[in-house]
Amino acid sequence: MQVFKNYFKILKSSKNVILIYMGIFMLLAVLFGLSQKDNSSADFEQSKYNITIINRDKETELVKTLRTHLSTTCNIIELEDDKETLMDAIFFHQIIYVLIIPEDFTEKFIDGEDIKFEKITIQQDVSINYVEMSINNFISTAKVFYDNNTQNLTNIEILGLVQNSLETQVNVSLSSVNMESNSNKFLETYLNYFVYIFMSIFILGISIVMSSYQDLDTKRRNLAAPISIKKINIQLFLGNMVYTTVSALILIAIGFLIAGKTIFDTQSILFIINALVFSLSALSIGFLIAQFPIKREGVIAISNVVSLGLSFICGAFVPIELISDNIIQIAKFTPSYWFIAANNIIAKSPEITSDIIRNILSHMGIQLLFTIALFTLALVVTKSNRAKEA
Amino acid sequence: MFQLYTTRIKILMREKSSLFWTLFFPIILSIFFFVVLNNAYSSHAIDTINIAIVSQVEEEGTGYTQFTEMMKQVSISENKKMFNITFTNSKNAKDLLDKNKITGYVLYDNGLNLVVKESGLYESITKSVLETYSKVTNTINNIYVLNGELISNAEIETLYQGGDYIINSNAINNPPDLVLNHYYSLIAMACLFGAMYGLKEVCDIQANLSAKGARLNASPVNKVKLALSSIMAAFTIQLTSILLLIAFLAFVLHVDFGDRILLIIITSIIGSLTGVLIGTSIGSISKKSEDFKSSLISSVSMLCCFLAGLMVVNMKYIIASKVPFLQYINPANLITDAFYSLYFYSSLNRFYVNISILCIINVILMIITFNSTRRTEYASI
Repeated sequence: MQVFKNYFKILKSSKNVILIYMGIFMLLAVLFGLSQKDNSSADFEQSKYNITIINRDKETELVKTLRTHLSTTCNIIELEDDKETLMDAIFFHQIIYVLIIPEDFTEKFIDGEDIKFEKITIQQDVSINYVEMSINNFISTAKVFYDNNTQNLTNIEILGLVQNSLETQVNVSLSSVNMESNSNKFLETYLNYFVYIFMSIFILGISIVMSSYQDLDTKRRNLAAPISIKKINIQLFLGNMVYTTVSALILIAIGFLIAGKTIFDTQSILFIINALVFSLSALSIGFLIAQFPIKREGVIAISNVVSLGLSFICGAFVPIELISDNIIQIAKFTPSYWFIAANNIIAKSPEITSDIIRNILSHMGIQLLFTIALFTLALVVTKSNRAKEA
Repeated sequence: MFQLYTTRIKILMREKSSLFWTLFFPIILSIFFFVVLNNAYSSHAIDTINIAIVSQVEEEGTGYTQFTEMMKQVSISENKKMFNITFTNSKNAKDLLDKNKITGYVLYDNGLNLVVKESGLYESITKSVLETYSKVTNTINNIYVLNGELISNAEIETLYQGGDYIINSNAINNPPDLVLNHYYSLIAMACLFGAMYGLKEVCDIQANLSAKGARLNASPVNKVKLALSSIMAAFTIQLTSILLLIAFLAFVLHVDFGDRILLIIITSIIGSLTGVLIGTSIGSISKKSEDFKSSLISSVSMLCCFLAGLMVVNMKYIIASKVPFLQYINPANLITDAFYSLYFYSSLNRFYVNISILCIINVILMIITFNSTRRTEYASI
């Protein structure tokens, strides 16, 4: 097992490099996991978004009622009516929406004139839709009341009715209170991030060792040695596997430590197995890339492209619900997609049924198929490289 | 000195594979970004939501029938209904929810009750639809009680649609765009990648770092001239890559940079210089191997880009609120913000702040580099 032992000698000589990579990427993963908003309450909580209302009209009853109504769904932050201040607040994401009530809005609105609010906002997305729905609901309800004011009610009476109509009675309850949902969210995000980390660390770590075997003289000497090529390759692969598995276990352990979750329940065990299976796929990708003779800068560039690219299309950074279907179809041809899909299923199921296990196992099976295919491809490349140099 | 400069450029261009990768990898990544982020943050990407409604005997006056009719009608777009509804009993509904087959189920009993599993996007959307229904029904009832007659269907329709009472303010020309942050921080990453060139150059001229360096030091060339021409060569190559990247982003992927072309070019120049100088500083002050230093540079660059919001835009805002001073020393963040300020703000205040800090960083790095590479004596052993 000389080659196997040699693998670790080479690794040891570059241990500083490997440790830096692992350290920094681990830090990235932890920060990323901690950055996700956690739903720590046991109740259903709708996020309250930060908005600002700039009132260029007088402080009328309509404006006051609007403000009261909006404060139930949003956090209203008071800011000056100064362009720089508002732009800064949006730039730093302190608020996501500025509602500007133009001059004489109330008068024109009650008279039935076509007057609109103005907005400054971040790009249109779900949170903006939610805020605007709140505003539009109020105004359209108020309009209907004003238009149908056959009883000649006063302003205050009408607005009272508007508020009354907008008081809803939808009770939302959570079916099963999952007190561990907090740590699950962190773990789910942290483990999804493994797509990026594993690829980066493995591609770089593997190429560090394999590059010393790529050197032409070394290769020729090895070919002349009494140990067969097959044995060399197998031992190299075993060395790679030990390296990747140990790194994976360290990263997983840190994740569970920070999440504070026990590793002995079914969910955790499934998380760990899924991550280890994915580490094999990442290993095979790294092994394949290491077969090509590329310099260090090139390897760093390729590892960035592969890891970032795969992470993006498989939904490691941007939630998978927001990615278009076409991209998801392409992503299904990568093992990382199945890893993340399995992760998401495990995270959402506090009670594991046999259905769910079957689903997860099929995801893991697909990852293993990718591993075998990529490894085979790597061996083919090795052979063709050898044929070229012989 | 000009000859030194051109020679170094020729040397850099000879390594075709590294050149290829450092030029094209940001472009390839930007294509990935484009493909994924194109519609990511817009609201078009919602799927039909699976829910269940606990079926009831339809009694007069409860409004159950109107409710179920509304739920069946409501749609996301022309051909896409909002909900895929299963009518069943409450035990079955709970079962479906536990198996993740539905987002939630509705119980129409003394008002609307929604049972869900978590506070997610689809759950919030479902809740909003139910709330709208409740509000509109209240309004119709209140007006009926008031006037003795129902409002017109057109008005009911408007109440459901919400109407369109808000327009974009003309106060800003370019709406803030979260997707742009990804592209700008990609440019920042490409700039920081120039550190590789800087590192290589320094290693080639330092006697204690490479054989080539030892030979160069034995020659009569002025060390400062040598260092300067190396840095300029690396900077030239790096600047060319960055400008090509920006051109690609602007003309092929139609990323919006705003109109201030000259300032965009200046930002690219300063950003590229920062990248190269980071490489030269780290290369000259540390005596470890080139491999170690390049690994250090690349991993620290990724960390900086991560904190500038390359992968998750949220990270940028978390840093801005929790560790604000970090955004002013993180070079990736400074470059990203410089580009973003050019796009977003009409005044140049924020842009100048970012560029000034970058220039200060450049000067410091230059001092470090020249200090470490100037006259050093090596003992000959």
